[in-house]
Amino acid sequence: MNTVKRKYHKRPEMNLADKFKAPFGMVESKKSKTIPIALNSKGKLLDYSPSAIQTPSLFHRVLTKMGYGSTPELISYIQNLPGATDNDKILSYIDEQLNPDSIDDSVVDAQLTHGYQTLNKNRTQLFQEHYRRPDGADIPWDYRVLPGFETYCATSLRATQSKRQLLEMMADFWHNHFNVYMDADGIPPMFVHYDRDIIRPDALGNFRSMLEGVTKATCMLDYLGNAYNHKDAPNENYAREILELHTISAEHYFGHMNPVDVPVDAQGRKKGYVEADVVEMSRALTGWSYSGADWEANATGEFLYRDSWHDKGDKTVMGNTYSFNAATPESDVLEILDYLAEHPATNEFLAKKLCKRFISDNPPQTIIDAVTITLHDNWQAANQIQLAMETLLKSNEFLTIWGEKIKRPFERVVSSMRQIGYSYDFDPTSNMADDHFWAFYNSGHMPFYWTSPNGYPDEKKDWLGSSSMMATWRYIQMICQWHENYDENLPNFNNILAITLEQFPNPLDRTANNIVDYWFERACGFPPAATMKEKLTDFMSYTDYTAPVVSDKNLPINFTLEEWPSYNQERLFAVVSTILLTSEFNYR
Amino acid sequence: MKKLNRRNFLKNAGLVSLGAFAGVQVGFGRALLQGSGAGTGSELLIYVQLNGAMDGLNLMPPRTGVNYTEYSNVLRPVIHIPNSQSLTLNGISDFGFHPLATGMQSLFNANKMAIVHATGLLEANRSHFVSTALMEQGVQSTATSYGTGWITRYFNSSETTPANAVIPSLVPSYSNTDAVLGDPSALVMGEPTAFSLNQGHWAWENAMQDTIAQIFTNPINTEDIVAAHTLNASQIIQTIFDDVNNPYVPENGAVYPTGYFGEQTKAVARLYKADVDLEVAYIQTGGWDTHVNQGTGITGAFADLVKELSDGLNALYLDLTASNAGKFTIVIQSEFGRRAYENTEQGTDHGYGNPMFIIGDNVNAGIYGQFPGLTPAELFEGDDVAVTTDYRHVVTEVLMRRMGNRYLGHIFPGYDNYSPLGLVTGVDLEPDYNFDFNADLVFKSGFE
Repeated sequence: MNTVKRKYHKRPEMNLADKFKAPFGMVESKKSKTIPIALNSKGKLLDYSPSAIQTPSLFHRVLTKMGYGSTPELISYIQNLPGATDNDKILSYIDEQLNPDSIDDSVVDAQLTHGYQTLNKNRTQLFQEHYRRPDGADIPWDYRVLPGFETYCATSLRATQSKRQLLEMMADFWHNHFNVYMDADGIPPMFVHYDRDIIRPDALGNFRSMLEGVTKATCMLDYLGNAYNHKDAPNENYAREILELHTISAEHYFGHMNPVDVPVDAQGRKKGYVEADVVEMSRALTGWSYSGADWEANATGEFLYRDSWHDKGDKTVMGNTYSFNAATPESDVLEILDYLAEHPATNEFLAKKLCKRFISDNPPQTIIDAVTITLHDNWQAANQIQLAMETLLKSNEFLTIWGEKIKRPFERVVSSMRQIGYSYDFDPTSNMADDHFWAFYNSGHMPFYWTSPNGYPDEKKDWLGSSSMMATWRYIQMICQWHENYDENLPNFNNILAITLEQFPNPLDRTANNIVDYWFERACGFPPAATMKEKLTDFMSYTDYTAPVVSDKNLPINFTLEEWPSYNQERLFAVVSTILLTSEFNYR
Repeated sequence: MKKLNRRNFLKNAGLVSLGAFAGVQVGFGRALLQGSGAGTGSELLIYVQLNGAMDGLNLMPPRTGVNYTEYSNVLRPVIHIPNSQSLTLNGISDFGFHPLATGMQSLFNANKMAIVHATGLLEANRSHFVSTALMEQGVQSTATSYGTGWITRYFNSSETTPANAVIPSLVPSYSNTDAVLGDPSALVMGEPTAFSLNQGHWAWENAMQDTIAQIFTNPINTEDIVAAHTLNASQIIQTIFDDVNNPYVPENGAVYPTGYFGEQTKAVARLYKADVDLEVAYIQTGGWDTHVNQGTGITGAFADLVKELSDGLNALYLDLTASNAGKFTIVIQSEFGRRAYENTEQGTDHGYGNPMFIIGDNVNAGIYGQFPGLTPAELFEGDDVAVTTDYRHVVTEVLMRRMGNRYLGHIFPGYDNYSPLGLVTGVDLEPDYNFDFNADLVFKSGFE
């Protein structure tokens, strides 16, 4: 089978410390109210337009579009980079990000040793310890899926805290481009290999190299079933997705047209592919398998070319004929991959997807063209993608366009974590790892959990929906409340209070007005509009939850006092979490 | 206040054409725009999709003749359901039900169920992914996608849906379906109790919710509009699904089975009875991909699935018919059937033709369609039950006669031969096979 249904997991109850439950008898009845929405005289929604969106500073824009969100620390870091102007400084930062190996990420690297046990296992170890043991003994389910679970934990940690923010965005991009559903049978045991050895090394490297790696990876061989592709009954699944989703793209699919009728470009290349090409491609890929797919003893999970399964006849793909060579039995496929990686349609497809990811749902053709040319001119270069990303990230389009995208749930939650200095370390053995996992799961944007081979959708409209929005909001509210181990005597994971106190060392400055101004601008990149500020400062100025009335917004709030009925600290957390729910915070 | 035209609402919300696989896309009742409304309780279509390819041959096994001999001796010597165990159906000798399908048996024997043999796509496709997508999008080829699902197009062409329907469309699931692709008014909701903002510290929870509501008042952009709708929908859902002040008691002594299918069916009944104009519910239920150790008789994975399905359908029927007799129809389908031959691992691989089941007070009970036979020459490509009835004949009959929608070419592009089997009672309107029907005609009366 070539795809899997999303598995059903009963949503577990979240653990909440007693502190988050009202004392007996103090529960207020839920109010039911509806929000009025302005309609015009004809009963239709009033016009609205993106022009209502305010634009934050250059640094904020770049940090939010190129990574998982800005922080004041990063902004001051960039201010100290070489360059006479903000523009020069941001270009210096982009250069750094394009060279992730040059960035010291030792803090995160050290955390990745706490509780993780599979990230350094090689492909054979992963297979023989988590997928199928040579002695045939059963592998407990928790242990079987551990490499996948640890990859999720590591990905969340890196997105939140790594200094290599662009690398993380690129890894996410390629994971979706070559999507594999991590909850499918056989995938989690080998997922460390897929992430560490296939996707990440070429995330800013070479597309052709990644394409071959993916084609030979246990995860993809299992997911789309090419591991069982036999000359007696060729399996078209992976062959079709290579052409449709990974290289030439559905835009250049000519259906059931006779292959000889497909138009050619000035260099004589076929402009697209047809059904017959899918069949020929699937023949070429017969016998491309892994050790273990045929239930052999002592299997390793390593890529395995199965000579007796391979169709040794000529294959004609997109007008070119590829012959089998017994001395180099993989060469027929490798030559096809060369052709596909060089093809202008592939490079344009990749360029468009990259521009859509980083710039806009409808990126200007100028920048698509520029990135296409860089990719194509350098298709054999080891740093092909790095060069293309340099073109993209230093373009006027990238540096100026704002608000044409929104953060998807994972990005929104992670950028919230970054704003509040969330200190959870995603230790996979910690008893809160599961709750974070389920919260991402319920948001609809759990990394690696898209079931189909096309990857998570990437347009604004795909993510404007109630269920996903509600689950994401709830997650953000939770991270603004959670304590370590759910124990109210242990520290909060959020550092909202510490950040506030540090920002306003003079207690007299800790007013509702100042606090709201600071947190809103910190998160959104510009000061709150008047109405927004009024609502937030109203809330921040309350002093008694039993009778919430607006008080003087310029009076200092005593944050060492955390008691009935003012609960100043909890109110601060609530105000900050509310800022993170606004649309202003959600733009990219 | 003037009622909002649904199509204009969709247009204004900028959400008409969602991209492919908007898997997390959900929406809200369109009339949430006008505050919580009281619906009138329209006719309800409940569509149950059995994901993974349900084994129709073991849910509804042959009992007599050459089909039984082939089935029990040749095709499935290990996992067949012996005719000594299968449940009998009134007036039917050649087929019975799986021994744990007692709820379905009682529905059939009470004349509340019609069954159609050997339905499916016109062209066999053994991929779950492709077949499911084709059915959900209501097309016959992946080359023709409209960016909308068949239920989306049902609503877009509906002349009967009230313009101020509160929650016309529900997908009780964590993940979306292509059937409602492109319809932001479809509410995809995995768990009603989690559809609320209640994660604050108890002291400030109410103040926080008030502040959030105020922030999204008078929204000026798409993001704020969706946020406002989400909060409104949440209020409605929390009011309806309030187990403390308003616990749900199924009528007629209906007992929903434990498990997610029981939760899904109960949620549909509960929401429908709350008069929110629920008109289509699309229930997805998985686990049917029984390649390995499917089990036989009353044991094994398949038997467990059948029991949950059968008990859930029976409970849903009993619960709804108590106070809404004749106002709902349930249709059950899977993307395709399973291989007629069992495999070497006591399971079954992907096949083709499969029965569909229609439940309700308006069905003409009985078995319809042609069973194509199980001898080698009769099997499709020598392996599978063949398809003798285009599944769209079944769906369109329900849409036409029960839901009053005649725009069949818009809902199922390319479909041009409405052929009711007589499964349900109702009026046959003049079918319209155009994809681009004249929308003004649809909406000229009663909407503006």
